[in-house]
This record gives sequence, C-alpha cells and structure tokens, in this order.
Amino acid sequence: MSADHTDFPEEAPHVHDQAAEVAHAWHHFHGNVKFFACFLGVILLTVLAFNINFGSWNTVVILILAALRSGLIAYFLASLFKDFSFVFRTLAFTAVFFAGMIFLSMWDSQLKGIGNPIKDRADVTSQSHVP
Amino acid sequence: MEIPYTLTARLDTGLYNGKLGIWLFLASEVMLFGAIFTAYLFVRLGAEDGTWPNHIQNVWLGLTNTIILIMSSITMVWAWVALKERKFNTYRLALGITILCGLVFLFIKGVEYKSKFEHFGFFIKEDAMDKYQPELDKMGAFYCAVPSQHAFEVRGHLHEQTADSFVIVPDSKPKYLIDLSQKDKAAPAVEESSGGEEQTFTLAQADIDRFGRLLPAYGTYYAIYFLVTGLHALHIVGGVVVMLYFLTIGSALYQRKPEQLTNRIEVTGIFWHFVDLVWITVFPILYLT
Repeated sequence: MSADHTDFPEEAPHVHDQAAEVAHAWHHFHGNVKFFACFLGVILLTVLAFNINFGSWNTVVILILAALRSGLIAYFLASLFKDFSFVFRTLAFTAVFFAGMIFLSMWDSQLKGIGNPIKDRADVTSQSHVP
Repeated sequence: MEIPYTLTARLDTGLYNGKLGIWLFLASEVMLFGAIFTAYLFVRLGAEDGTWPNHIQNVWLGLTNTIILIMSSITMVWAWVALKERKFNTYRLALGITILCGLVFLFIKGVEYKSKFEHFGFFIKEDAMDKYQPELDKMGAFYCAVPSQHAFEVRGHLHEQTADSFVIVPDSKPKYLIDLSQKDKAAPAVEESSGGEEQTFTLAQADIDRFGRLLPAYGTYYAIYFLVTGLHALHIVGGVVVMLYFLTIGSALYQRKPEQLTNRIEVTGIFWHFVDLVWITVFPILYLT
C-alpha cells in the first residue's frame, strides 16, 4: 500500500467490491492510454501527410485519414457509454438533429436557387484557374 | 434532505445524477459545435477559388496543443483512478498536472492570437497589380486574386507605415500550394536572403483598396477561426476552473464522501474528454488547410 493511502471508517466500501472497482478503473485507464496513443499516431500521420504532396492521391489520403480520426472518436464515445442504452438513445437524437440540420440547409439552398454547393463547387473547380 | 442517486445509479437510466446531467449537457454541446462545423462547411464550399487561406497557421503550435490536451486527458483518468484507490495525494498530483496542461494550452493559444493581431492583409487594386507582380514573384511572396473585389490580396507583417506607403514583409508562398496558372511555367527565381535579413516590400497607399489585421472582421476564415477556437478556449477555461475547485475547496468532500468526489471527478473527466475530442476535430480543419 502506498504512503498516501487513507482509511475512511465512516464509509469503508466492502473490500472485495472496492478491489473489483479499482481493477476496473485501472482497466479503463489502460484502455484510455492505448486509445490516446492511437489517436496521437493518427494525428502525427495527418500532419506528416499535410507536408507531402501526393498529387492526384491527395483526396484519397485525406479521406482515409479523416475516416480514421472520426472512427476513433466514434469508438471512444461508444466505449464511454456502451453500458448505458439510455444515453445512447439520447445521443442518437443528437445525430438525428444534426443530420436533419444538414438536410434542411441543403434543401433551403435549393429552394432559394443557390443550388447544391458541393456539385457547384466541383463545376467551378473544373472550369476555373488560380491567377 | 438527502438527494438520491448521487452515488448509485437509478434503475431506469442506469446512471447516477451527475453522469446523466453531463451526457445531456454534452448532447447540447454536440449540437452547438455541430452547427458551427456545418456553417464552416458551407462557408468553405462557397469561398472563391484560391482565396481560402492556405498554410497560414503554425502547425507545430497546433500539434503541441493537441499533444498537451491528449496528455491531460490521460492524467484526468489517472486522477479518477487515484480516487478509486483512495490515494488522495496521487489524485492531487494528477489533477494538478491536468490543470497545468490546460493552462499551457491557453498560453499557446494566446501566443497564436497575438501573432494574428500583428499580421496584416492588403488588397491591391487590380489595375495597380502589374507593377507589383514581378517583384512579388521574385521574392517568392504569396498573393492571390479576389475576383469579386477586383483586387489582389497580399499578407504579411507591417514593417513600417509612412504617409503614403506601407513597408511590409510579405508571407512566403506555401510550399505545396497548387497554382494552376503556373503549372506549365518554370518557377520564378527567388532571391536568396543573405544574412537572414527580412525582405521588405513597399506598397503605395494609393494602390491599396483596403487593409486590415487578420482578425474576425478581415474575412470569413478568420471569423470562423476565432469563433471556433475562442469557444473551445472558453470550454478549457471552464474545465480548468472546475478542476481548480476540486483541487482546493471541493476536495474537502474527500473526508466526508470520497465516492461522491470520485463521481464528480468522473463527470469532469467526461467533459474534459469531450473538449479534447473537439480540439482533435478542430485542428485538422483549421490548421491543416
């Protein structure tokens, strides 16, 4: 036992329960360290890729790295609330609102005649040049 | 009256009060940042070709901040584990390191903001550009056309301002910027600077359409940059204040109800992880462009 260990007579948890909780906490900690090490690796790869010109493969590389990052974020959030279906349902509403917001914005753009920004951008890029 | 479910989970939600509260709060935060990121998407797609700032952020400062936040997330979990183990001193050490990381992050952010306050952008009138273009090319300086404003934009540090001119040190051309108009031509020779002296460039005030510091009013990118990073920095400040409370006054709870303090630190940790993940999303969007 370390030197800074303190006993609490008025609220001493059951020895076995506490041991299991501590073991669970350490398991969680090690999982976190692995996750953040992975994330740091992907971030470093992204910065490395940023300094390299892949030519026509630029978009592919960017998309792969973006997918890796968002996948890791999704995994981490899922690992935080995997035991709690209630929270999962609550966050699912957030996703619905987010998707709805994007849909409404694009629908509104089309109603106002602005058009599809992604398609328009592709058209402009294919015709124009940078002075 | 004792408030129920501060320590144990409710049967219907499977969560204690604090955890349910923080997840609901984070759901609203996702909507807030989601709305801003969506706005960014539309603004970015709507930008005129060649006018969206490229390679203008200090990537190394941004990366340093990313590493610091990732480290702080780990020390935050360490603080929680230490409380589970009832090791109060270790808890204080881990939480102290987390707070320090938050403060270092804010300091670096301050350094970045300071450089924005000292940086200028100049819009040269289209008809006056002919006389400046050869020298800008020779210096390897970055400039771009803004068709809707009939002007060319040059960014750099203001070296000196006289009654009728600006002497500036223009930004260099980004290393990997794809300039479609130059792709079939040989790159212009860039004069090597001898002795590390800054290459200055003089602009007549009569040839300037407008100029300004690289602050929110300057352009859409800077408005988004300051909005997102400012809002994120406010979250860091909020997190640091809460952690300082639990390191000082709030830690008295450890003597009475250590498990409740453990839960509070867990909730603070979930918030801190969220702030970390937001930054990891912001960094590639705003820095690696």
